[in-house]
Amino acid sequence: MPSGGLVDVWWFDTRAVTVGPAGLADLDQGERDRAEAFLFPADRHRYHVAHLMLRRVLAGYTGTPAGRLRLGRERCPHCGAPGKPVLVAGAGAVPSFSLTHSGDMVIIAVAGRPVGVDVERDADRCVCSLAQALHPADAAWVAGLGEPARHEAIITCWVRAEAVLKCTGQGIGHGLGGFPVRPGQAAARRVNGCTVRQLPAPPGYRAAVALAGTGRLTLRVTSAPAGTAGAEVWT
Amino acid sequence: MNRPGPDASRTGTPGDAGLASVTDDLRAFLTSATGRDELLHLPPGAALFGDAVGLDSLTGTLLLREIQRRFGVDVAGEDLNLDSLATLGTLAAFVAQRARPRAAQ
Repeated sequence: MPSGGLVDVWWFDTRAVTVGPAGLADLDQGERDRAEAFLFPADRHRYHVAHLMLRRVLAGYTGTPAGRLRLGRERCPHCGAPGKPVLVAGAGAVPSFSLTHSGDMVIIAVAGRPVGVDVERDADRCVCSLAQALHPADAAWVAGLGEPARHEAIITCWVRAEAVLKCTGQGIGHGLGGFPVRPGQAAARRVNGCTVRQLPAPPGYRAAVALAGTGRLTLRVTSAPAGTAGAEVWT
Repeated sequence: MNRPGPDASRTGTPGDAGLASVTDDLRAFLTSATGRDELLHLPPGAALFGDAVGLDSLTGTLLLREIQRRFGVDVAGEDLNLDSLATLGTLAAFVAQRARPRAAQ
């Protein structure tokens, strides 16, 4: 299990993953119900991939079979509503994790203390209206950029802010402009009690990870679970 | 008491041109914002942010900003419980009822 400032980052491309009956059997009833509620097959597939991979990644850290892991929700520290998904403690240490998906991409971040990750697909249209949701300092920074750099900068600010909120467990419904996320040349920045840094992302996507505390943040990025390199087909 | 007026306009009625037009506008925006053509056929009863479509927070925020720009309706500011965001239909009805004359007809 990663400790200190280390964050393990697992990327999955939902187009490269097939989910079969054995995989679906590892999901709990709540996850299966949720998946069934999607109107469109593409959403259902992405949900299946994200939650099955989450269980398989966490199984690798805990030694508990994927289908036996119990997932619950922490309460939002701001309003008390059910919020951040967490592993319900069993025997042994329990890693912190965060799950995000956008477009075809799923990312799971795992760390020894609270962690948040967010990925967003670059928008096909102008996103300048989102600048109003950012902290005024970040909004002023993006306002000074020309398009399309401004659009990229807005999405960059967004994923950093959302990663921080997912790390602290505060719902994004309370707004994400409460603190500046300070993109810039530095690899890692202190933001709102967290350390945040940009995550290398495939073309068309932006991603960031945040770790509780203000020390170093080291990324260990993997494209597939250990021992399965090159075999991204699951049954 | 003479109650039907405001209640009927709040929920919209079949054949309400303003509501139908707002619903189509919201579908078109969501389709272009996400690049997902299937959203052009989103049924009015579909939950936008819950289990049905799975819109993310960024797309949701873009949608509310676009509604403010196009219809002059500040959904987050006027509907503090955000009940109007339940489904495409409830959101379209909320917007159609409050939209400036250009959109509401």
